[in-house]
Amino acid sequence: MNQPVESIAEQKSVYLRDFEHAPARDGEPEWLTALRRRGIEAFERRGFPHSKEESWRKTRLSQVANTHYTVQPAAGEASVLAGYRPAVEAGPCLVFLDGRFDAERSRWAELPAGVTAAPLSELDGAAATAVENHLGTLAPVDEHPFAALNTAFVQDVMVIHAARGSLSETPISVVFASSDSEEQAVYPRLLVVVESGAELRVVEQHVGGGANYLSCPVTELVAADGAILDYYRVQEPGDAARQLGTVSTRAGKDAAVRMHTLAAGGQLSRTDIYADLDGTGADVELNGLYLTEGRQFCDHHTWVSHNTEHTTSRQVFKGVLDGRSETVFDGLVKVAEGAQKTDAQQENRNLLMSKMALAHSNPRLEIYADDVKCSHGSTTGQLDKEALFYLRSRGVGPADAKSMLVFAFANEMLEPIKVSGLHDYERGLLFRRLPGDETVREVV
Amino acid sequence: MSATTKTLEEVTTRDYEAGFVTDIEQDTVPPGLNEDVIRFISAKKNEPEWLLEWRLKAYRNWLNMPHPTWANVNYPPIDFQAISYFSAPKSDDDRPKSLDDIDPKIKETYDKLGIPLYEQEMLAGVAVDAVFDSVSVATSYKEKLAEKGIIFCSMSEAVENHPELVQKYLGTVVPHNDNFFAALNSAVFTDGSFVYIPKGVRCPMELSTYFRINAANTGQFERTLIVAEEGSHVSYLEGCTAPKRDENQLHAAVVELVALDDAEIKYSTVQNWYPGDENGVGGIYNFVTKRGLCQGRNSKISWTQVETGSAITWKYPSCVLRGDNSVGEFYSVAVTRGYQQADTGTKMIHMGKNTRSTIVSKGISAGHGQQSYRGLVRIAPTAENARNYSQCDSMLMSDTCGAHTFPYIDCQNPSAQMEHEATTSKIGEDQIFYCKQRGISEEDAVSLIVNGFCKDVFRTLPMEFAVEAQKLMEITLEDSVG
Repeated sequence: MNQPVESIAEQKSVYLRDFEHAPARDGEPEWLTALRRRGIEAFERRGFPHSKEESWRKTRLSQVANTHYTVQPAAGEASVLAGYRPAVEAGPCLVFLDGRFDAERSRWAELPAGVTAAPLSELDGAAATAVENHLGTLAPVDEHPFAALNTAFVQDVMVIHAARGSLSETPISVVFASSDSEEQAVYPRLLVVVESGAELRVVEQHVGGGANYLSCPVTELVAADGAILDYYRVQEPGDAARQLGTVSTRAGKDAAVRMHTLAAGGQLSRTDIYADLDGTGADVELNGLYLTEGRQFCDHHTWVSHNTEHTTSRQVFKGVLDGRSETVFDGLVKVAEGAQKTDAQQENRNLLMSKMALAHSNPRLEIYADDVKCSHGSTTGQLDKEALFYLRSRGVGPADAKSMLVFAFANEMLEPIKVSGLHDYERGLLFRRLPGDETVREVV
Repeated sequence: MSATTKTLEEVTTRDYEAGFVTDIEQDTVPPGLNEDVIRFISAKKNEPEWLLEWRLKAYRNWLNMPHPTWANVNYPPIDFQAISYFSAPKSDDDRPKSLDDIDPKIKETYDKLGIPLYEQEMLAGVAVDAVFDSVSVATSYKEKLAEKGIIFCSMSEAVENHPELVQKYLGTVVPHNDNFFAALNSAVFTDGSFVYIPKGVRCPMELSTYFRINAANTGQFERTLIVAEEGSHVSYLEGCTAPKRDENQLHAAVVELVALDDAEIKYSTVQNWYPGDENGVGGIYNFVTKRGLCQGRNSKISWTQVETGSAITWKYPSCVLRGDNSVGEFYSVAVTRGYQQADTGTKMIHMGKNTRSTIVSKGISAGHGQQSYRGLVRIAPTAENARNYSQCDSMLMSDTCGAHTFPYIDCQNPSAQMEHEATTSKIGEDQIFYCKQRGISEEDAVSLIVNGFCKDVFRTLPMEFAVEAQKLMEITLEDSVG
């Protein structure tokens, strides 16, 4: 864990060399080339985080820094996509393999009026301008080394744009898949712009095979004044995968961003969620569920900034930990000076299913205004013995009773999902983790 | 301007001058820190060889330690070479001549607290040659304690008279390389208190540093060690409610508590050092490492602190719950006003089975005060059925102050139950209105609400202390609202 500084510096230079020797990208707009340059320069300055850095202290990065992950010249074979069904049946679904748009595997359905969804390489018009104005403005390129790497090496950018006043209930799905190539680096990138008064639903999914690969997804969500964005993220990276990603959002005046994440799978996964509440009346909701087992490491960092008056945020993160897995929830609510009447809530609940699982929970508040309502709560524990006894006394077997209680604990996070197909899909993921899933399926 | 308002540099320069003024050269060392200074301190105090070695080990470790930056406080870098690490007690010429020489604000506070005049003079460090009542009181207490076999003396006396006890326990709870300031303290500590309660003895009175205050100038690097043998019980009070004048700006104390089987230690602190003037100039830096080890079964350590002074407080009284069924408690009220900064909290490390810990932290911020609660609750895999309850509430009394909460909760045993709750609030206009319409003045209403807010903590203080603390709170927060 305590990697010598020199070897980390060595790893850093490998990526700098890769950048210099990257094949020429013909026809790429100048602003994008400049953005890439900004990314690699930020990475050069920042380097890999040191294990003594407070916000990276618990993330075992040596696994990542010790391997040289490279971008493959072309998309590889993806066993994970054979017979793969996306989480959501309805609406368009765009598939990216190894960061490159895969038109063949994508499902084209009619886009709702006013909504554009396409890779940057096939974009022009108003949406293309929106990309230039927004790409890289929200992602923490300067602070987060993996967001910087993504910015430097991104292959193609998935863009979803909802024009002013457009309303759509049909979800737009994006699937980022990784192929079976060993030690490859993938840099998925998603930009969602919801113009003022528009309403949009987006589902982002990450899947991968059994290879040891590094994925650094970066997502930027812009919600202009009065916009409503429902964003769902399902992370199922492969068993040996390391995924280090960021999701950043900015909510304008009276805008609402509701984020829902589910993390399962991956050897090491870390998601940094940044939310800036910039307009009065902005409302952000962050819900997350993480299911870990084996030797998985799963980390969620949230950075919620209330930058102006009358803004509200609510975070609930729940974890079910099994095996020797380790999870981190580190949430920060920051109320800026003058951001009066802020209402911020934060909650983290961890359920330990095994003796060797380890849950870290750091719910943090930084408050520089006095007329605010802020609270946070954190609990960690095992299943309630009395509840188990109650079920057992009514003839429910031990495995079934356990499953029912875990389901009840985790299902709370799935209830608010508004996309019906996704709701069932995530339930399915949860069922797979329960010892007596058949009975529970029947009961609920 | 009183001596206390001077900055670190001014103070240290004066120390430096004093070094030349003093007639006996060996009584002081010039500012700066190196192995010779440590050897000098050790020799001066007639310390045994092992203690010198220990100090030097700490010093060598300290040299390789970076100055910690993780705390949520801001202050200019400290020049450790500008501090004089050993100086003889101040001669009367350096002290304020009378109470008229000290900051009138402090004098005002003394009067409000109802402190007798001679005690005021003593607290302000005024040179007086009258014999205080408390000295004779202390002597009679000492006799009573000796009867029970209790050792209560300064650290230097303990090193001289009970070296085997000191050697056995010193550094066992806070190792010499624990953290930057603890390492510095281990290298250069000059004095402090030593308490030893023999097996089965219940200390008949509250032990207080207050009785020792004029007996020995404990200095800025204080080291306290309290050992409670099997089945013993002790309650220890540190500090007092009256604001205390001090020449040194940097304070890096270390407190170690050891509780063996069935022993109980209750450690209460009221800290009210000079916080700097209204512009945030001057004031004490209070960087303290306090840790208790519940080594035995069924042992209990309870920390209670009321922190109202110091420009910067950096303090985390902690409990290591190693014995089965041991209990750790932390109750804290911290007030920051003016430009005060406090980063304080606790660590509860659960290792034994059925260990329990309670954390109640109340923070009050006013003016430009910045306050952080930083706490760790760690449940080791061996801590079956551990239980923790944490509550940290903050109250904000102006729109320029800040209240922050950084709890760390690491749980490695599924049978553990842990809860953490935090709230942030301000005194509601409706609450004030309610009081006022019932004929309670605004000032009284504020004090009523604040004392209600802190009640959970004050309740755990020894009776007299609690009354004083309440009074202190009223005075501290006067004119803070409105």
